[in-house]
Amino acid sequence: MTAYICSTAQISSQEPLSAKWFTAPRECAERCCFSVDAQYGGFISPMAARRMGKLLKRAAATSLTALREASVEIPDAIIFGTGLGCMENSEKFLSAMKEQGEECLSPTYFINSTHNTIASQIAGLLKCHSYNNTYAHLGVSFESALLDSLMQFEAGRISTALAGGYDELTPGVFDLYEKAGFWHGVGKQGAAAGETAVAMVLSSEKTDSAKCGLEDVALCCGRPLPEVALALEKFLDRNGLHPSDTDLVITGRNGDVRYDESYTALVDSVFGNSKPQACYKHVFGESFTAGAYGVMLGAEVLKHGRLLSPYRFGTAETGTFERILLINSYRSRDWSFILLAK
Amino acid sequence: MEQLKEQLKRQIIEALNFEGMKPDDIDSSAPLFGDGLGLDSIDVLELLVLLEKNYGIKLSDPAESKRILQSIDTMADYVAAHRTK
Amino acid sequence: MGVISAIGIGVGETLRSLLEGRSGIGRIAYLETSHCDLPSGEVKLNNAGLCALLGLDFKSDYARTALLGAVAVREALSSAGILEAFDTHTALVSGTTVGGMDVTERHICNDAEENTNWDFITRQDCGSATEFVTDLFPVFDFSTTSSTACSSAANAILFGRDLIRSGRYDRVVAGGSESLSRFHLNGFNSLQILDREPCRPFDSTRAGLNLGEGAGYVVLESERSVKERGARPLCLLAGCGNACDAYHQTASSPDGEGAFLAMNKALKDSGLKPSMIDYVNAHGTGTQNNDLSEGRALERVFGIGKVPPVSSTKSFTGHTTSASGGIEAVISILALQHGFVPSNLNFSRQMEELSFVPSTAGDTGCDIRNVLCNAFGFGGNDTSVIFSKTEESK
Repeated sequence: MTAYICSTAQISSQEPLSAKWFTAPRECAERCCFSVDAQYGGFISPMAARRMGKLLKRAAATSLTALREASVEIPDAIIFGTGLGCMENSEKFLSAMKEQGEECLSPTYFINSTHNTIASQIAGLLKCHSYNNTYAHLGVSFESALLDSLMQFEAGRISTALAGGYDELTPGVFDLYEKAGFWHGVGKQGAAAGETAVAMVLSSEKTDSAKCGLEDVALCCGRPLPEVALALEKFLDRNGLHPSDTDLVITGRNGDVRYDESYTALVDSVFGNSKPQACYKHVFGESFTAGAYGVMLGAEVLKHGRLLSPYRFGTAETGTFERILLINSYRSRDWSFILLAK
Repeated sequence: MEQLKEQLKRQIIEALNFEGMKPDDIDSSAPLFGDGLGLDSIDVLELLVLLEKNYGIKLSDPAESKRILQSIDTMADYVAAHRTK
Repeated sequence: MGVISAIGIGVGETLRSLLEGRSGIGRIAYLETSHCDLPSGEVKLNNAGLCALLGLDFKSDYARTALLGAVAVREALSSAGILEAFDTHTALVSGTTVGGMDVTERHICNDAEENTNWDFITRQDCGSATEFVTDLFPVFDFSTTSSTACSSAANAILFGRDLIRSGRYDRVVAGGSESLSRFHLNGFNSLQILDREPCRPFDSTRAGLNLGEGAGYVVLESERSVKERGARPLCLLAGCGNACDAYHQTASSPDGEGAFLAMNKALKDSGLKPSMIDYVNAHGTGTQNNDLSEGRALERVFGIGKVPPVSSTKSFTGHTTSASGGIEAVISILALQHGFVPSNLNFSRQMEELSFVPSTAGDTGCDIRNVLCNAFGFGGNDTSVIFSKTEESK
């Protein structure tokens, strides 16, 4: 069954809550693309905002914008993915514990440190009693949320859903992952670090604002590449498609020489080496939920029927865009496949 | 006493993250909860932490806490009488 | 199914503790903390002991959540007869919120050493704790982590059920795992909801919860797969319901709206009438707020005077937070299989506001066909799951 993506909203290194990223994206900085925050006054009352960290404010602004653009007041489900949750709060609670020991700790940071605080606080803002869930699984956190959303539609339980991906880059997180060799270093090992705040509204009905259809989502974890290729072929087959039926493959390649090759190997083995490709992490940076930007890009490509040069990868000629496959992976370990159609 | 009230207000604004609010914006006699400043149960806990950290006052009886945390005036009275630092 | 908690390692020991009314709550012996005197439900093994159970070489940077999860998942796979790579197309859906926070906090609070394995430190998030388990068993080609605080495992079961219902998987191992950590022990302490005495769910003198730890998983299998391999199911996962209280970040609404909606959704999903529920394994944390709110919701769902036997087994295990929905799913299934109502320990005085009292007798020999199991989390993430006897197991 198809669920339609009716709206998307982002706060990233690009102009916040705008669609300019599609036509005129800014290049991301070499090592990290910190997000450009929006003005949050119009979205959240000062009383509500005082306990919200940066990531929660971004979630509120993107969620409310996406809902408004899709003309949905209260969604039937709110399902988010976040790799690390509100790290700013977790770090503050941890450092208070380190500095002052286990007494006199302030509860607010703790409350806001749980991963589900984002989806549940958006529910609180909307007074929305609907289905509410959060996934926190490395590079497939957002994709798990999207899969859950799709299964809720398939089971006929909902007709609208708010799905999103959220991660923030605190100096502490940047340092830690830097030490572990995640970001650009010598010989271009590592990616550019990024943050994610993307909300999208899905609907069972093809509304006027619908950008594209979400056809299917699958994950494949901890398997060697040949098995991942088999899983991808099975995924296409399950959707009645031959590899040649997809017009574009959007991959999560991020410039890290250690892992980008596996995208090449996977795409070549399933599609041959002349499949048109696109990528987006050079614009938005890498984060656990960066795959949400890929879906956003795929949706715009299908809506406008064009792919601009900043997002093109490789030299294969593109034709019309009817179906797009997204492939994302976390360090060649957790893979996700998403199928979008016009 | 006025100085203590001013100090409490500043500490509350900081601890509860009231961005852009000034001590003068808080009426010392107005209720902190409900119709006044509109604080909730998490704020109570933050205020208890504030009292313990800054004044060495440890409150454990919820009914007593409720009475003491009614307004800046009641807080200041209690702090002045019971502070250990 | 597989389980590990303060009342036992494995299903057998857990059942015995429940039948004998033996609580696992006591002083903290394993977690490094200055709050050792807070009664808690620790698993009575250190990490080296857990590694030994799993046949792993002990490493100090293994997250306890991951080890607890691995022990319970192994028992679940083994009892379902799919431990040996029977098929590689099995999914693991695990709930956790603490993840590897125990390792992170040791690393941060004790200052990192020169030779710190940074790559390992970055693998202390929730998803990595799940993947540690995935990697130990060759049957999995799918893993994800639900993280909705104390309802995480219940939501993992709900997601697992949909993976099967939608035809994507025939076998899913679903549940959750959570170790104690200094981080959340202090977090709950800062909220002043930890009782300094053993917790007393649904008692008028209740003064908070005791934290616990452990893991619990069930193996969900499609009807087709059960028939194909001639497996004998323990019970039917009859229904699930998820709703959001949307009231407050930590407190439940006075009328228990989220809990009410979650239970009603699960009932509707199962096609059962409220009167057909024979036992409710309550969330019942022992806090003033939860038990009143959940009690009101139970009265709204079942009607005053019609609430079935209710107990909170957190009086045995402590509140195992993200794992509770998994551990209590296993306990609910044991109640179905063995026809008993687990006792609600430490209860003495009825709550004035409620029309019912929890079950304390530990009745055996009961005909229990349908069990409702509640798991509610911070932020109002409320989930209810119903387990029923199958035709064969009746």
